[in-house]
Amino acid sequence: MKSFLLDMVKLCLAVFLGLFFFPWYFLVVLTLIYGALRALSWKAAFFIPFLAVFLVWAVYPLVISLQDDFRMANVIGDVFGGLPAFAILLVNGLVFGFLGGMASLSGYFIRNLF
Amino acid sequence: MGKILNPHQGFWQNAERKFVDQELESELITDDIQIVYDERYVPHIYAQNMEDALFAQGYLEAQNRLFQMDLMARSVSGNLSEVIGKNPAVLKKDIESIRKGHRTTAAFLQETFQKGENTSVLDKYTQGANHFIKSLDKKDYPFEYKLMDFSPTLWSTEKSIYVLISMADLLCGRADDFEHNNLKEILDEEVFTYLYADNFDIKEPIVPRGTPFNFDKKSDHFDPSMNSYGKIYKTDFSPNRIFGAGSNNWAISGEKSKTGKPILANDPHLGLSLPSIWYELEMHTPEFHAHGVSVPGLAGMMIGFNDDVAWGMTNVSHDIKDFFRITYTDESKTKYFYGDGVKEITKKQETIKRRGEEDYVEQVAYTEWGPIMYSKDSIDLAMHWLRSNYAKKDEPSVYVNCMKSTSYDDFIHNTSGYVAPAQNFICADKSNIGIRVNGTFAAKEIGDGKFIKDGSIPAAGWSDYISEDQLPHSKNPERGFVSSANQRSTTGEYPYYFNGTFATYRGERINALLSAEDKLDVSSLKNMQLDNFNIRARDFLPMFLEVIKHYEDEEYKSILKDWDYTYTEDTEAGTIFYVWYSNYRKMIFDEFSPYHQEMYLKYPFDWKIFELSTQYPDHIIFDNASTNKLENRDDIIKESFVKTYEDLKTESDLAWSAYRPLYIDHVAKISGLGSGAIQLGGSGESINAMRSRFGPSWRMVVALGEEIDAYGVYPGGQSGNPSSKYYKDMLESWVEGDYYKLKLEKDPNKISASRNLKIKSGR
Repeated sequence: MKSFLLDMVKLCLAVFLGLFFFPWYFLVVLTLIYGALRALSWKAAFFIPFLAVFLVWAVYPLVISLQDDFRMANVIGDVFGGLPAFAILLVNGLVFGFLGGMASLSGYFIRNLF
Repeated sequence: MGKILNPHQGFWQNAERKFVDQELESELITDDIQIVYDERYVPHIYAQNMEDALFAQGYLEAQNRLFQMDLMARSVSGNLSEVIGKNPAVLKKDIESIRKGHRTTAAFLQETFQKGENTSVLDKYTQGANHFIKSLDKKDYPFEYKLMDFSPTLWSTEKSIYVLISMADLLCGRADDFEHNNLKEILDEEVFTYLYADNFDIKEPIVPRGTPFNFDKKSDHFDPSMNSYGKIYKTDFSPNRIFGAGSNNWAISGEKSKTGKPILANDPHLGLSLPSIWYELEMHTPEFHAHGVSVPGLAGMMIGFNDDVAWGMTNVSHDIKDFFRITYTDESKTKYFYGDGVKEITKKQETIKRRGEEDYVEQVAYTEWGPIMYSKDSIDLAMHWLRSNYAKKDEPSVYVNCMKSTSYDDFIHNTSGYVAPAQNFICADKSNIGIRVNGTFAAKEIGDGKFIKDGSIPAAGWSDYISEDQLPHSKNPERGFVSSANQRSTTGEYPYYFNGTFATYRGERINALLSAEDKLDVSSLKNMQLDNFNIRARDFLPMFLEVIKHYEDEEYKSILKDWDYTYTEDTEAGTIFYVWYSNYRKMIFDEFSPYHQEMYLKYPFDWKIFELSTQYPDHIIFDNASTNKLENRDDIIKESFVKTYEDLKTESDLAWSAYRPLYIDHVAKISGLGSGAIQLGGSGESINAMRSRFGPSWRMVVALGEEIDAYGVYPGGQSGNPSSKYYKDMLESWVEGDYYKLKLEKDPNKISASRNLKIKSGR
């Protein structure tokens, strides 16, 4: 459990810092590499990157939203057909967390093929 | 999707968190500039000279309205497809801009303005805008750029010129030549001549009846053989932009004012959008202190006030665009007849860049008159637009000079050299009021410009222009007020002929209200701006009801009977009358129905239909050709009433605001960024001219005096960022008919600042 948490925190930091310099799909590359080189089980391969990316893509916008009274979250919700702000934050985290998880899982399975 | 939802680079970075005060530096300004944003996010600029102040204006408008400015310039320069790819409607719009010759016009204006001493006006504005644009990191790109996935490019004087062209296209780009040509063919000659006559006898022209014109000029009739008659069918490209603009302004003298000093009011009506067409700002230099609104992209203030004067605009609507039919020498279409000889067509290749596709090349043929805008069924028409062919070097300074005017006469002096879009420039100082129809107009013969002209006759064109001292002008008229609401400038006594699309009802109502009271104040003028009385209803409805008085009493009749002709939010009578009148007009002109789809047509003006209805109730035009019976006015009133009943019986709510809610869309029609349905009163013919996507875009009332007492509001907010708390914060006040107090605050420390900005001179 400890290593699970530690990996998650490290990956989370890597995603957070990396996105200051690289385009968004950096998270796919990073999680894929994680899955291919480091993940110990398929569960770890999915959930660690999922949570790491979720944290960055939902919690960072949440922090921003707390500073602008959720106005941007509401605007994005309006543009995407009237979703409420909390749903936008959740979807933002879930969709890209899932993407990170799946990328990592792909890496993990590719490694196991050989 | 990842790009725009990325917390580090996407939309989230546009969130408006706590404002941070900023300090910038530029080598392009001579002294430090201090900018204080107030509690409505209106910037107050403190600069040491005009150039620096305009630099700041450019910076601020780019900071808050960059996408809107960009879109406005692209919309007339044929550059929309560059950013909105694979969209046939957008490409069509670009081709239309090219065919109208806007790029050639822009080059011509650029060249002319560069000869002036005042190009620095546009240059300074551009430098300021670019100081902001250059500072942008990708993550800071405005919301719409991220959503539509393209990057802002630097501003330029050329883009400001395109903003000017866009305003001109909207406000003075209309000509009814196509409509008149068609109507002349469809209707009997006599009927056409009667229904589409100019209204020389208008009750309330802008320059009061009886005002002497101190010059002589004898106008001859335009020789009809120089016209080129015949039906003109629609093509993909419209000769006119759909026009819905109309505005009010008026000023009362000190004698008519409770304060003893003049009061001025102005509410320009335009298509409403978010962000708003206007950006409010205040400027201070040692020379002047001014507060008002500008059109983002153009330096200066179009409407506003300073310590000494208040000024405003409404649209003039004179016809300054002609179409000429070209007769080619042969099928190669390379030469055409012109006078006694032959001239060559000049071909210009214009490239439209298309996103994700190959460039589109449009070849435009230019004649002596202008570009060939219309080509169908072997009819080729060249467009001759005054804005494309006439410019004065100091034009860009006019809206800048308004700000530093010290008296009425100084204002008139400062606003000379103005070309287009022509506006009714109204101004009040502490003891004078006046209004001038300001712009450049051709000196036309009577009837000139009503139809398409024969392009092979050089004399069919304009040979002279009205000189500035002969423009319609009224200063301190005896009645104690001046006003305009897009009606005709003068009666027929004005020595020059002019035609155009003119309103009547609002002007009549304004003058009636201003004449009725001896003493008026700011609050009475505000109430006037919110006045929902509809003269069209007052004129037509008693006649309608008289005709159906023997009908058994039923619901609609009883609703209409007690109506005071006022378009309040909840009036049901207003809805019924609106539909009834629309049906009535449509049924009178059943002659149009076979042609509506394929050619441009227009109804006569409402006042003419009223005259027809009251004076000639048995006129042949009332007959419905598809029946065996010979209908007259009363038959049409009855039939249109029945039709109205049928039209409205499925409506669950007849309240006016439910039937005709107002929508304020985003400038690029991005769904979710507009206002949604707004329920309010007002109607197209009321002073409070509200239509479904159109209305008073800025309401301002200014009382002159030792201390200026000024109020204003517009339906939007100062920030163009959709997530800003200042994106549409003023909308509710506007809907409610409330105003904000506008103050010339000379001491920056007295402003309750929402944000501070300092631009230091790096020299």
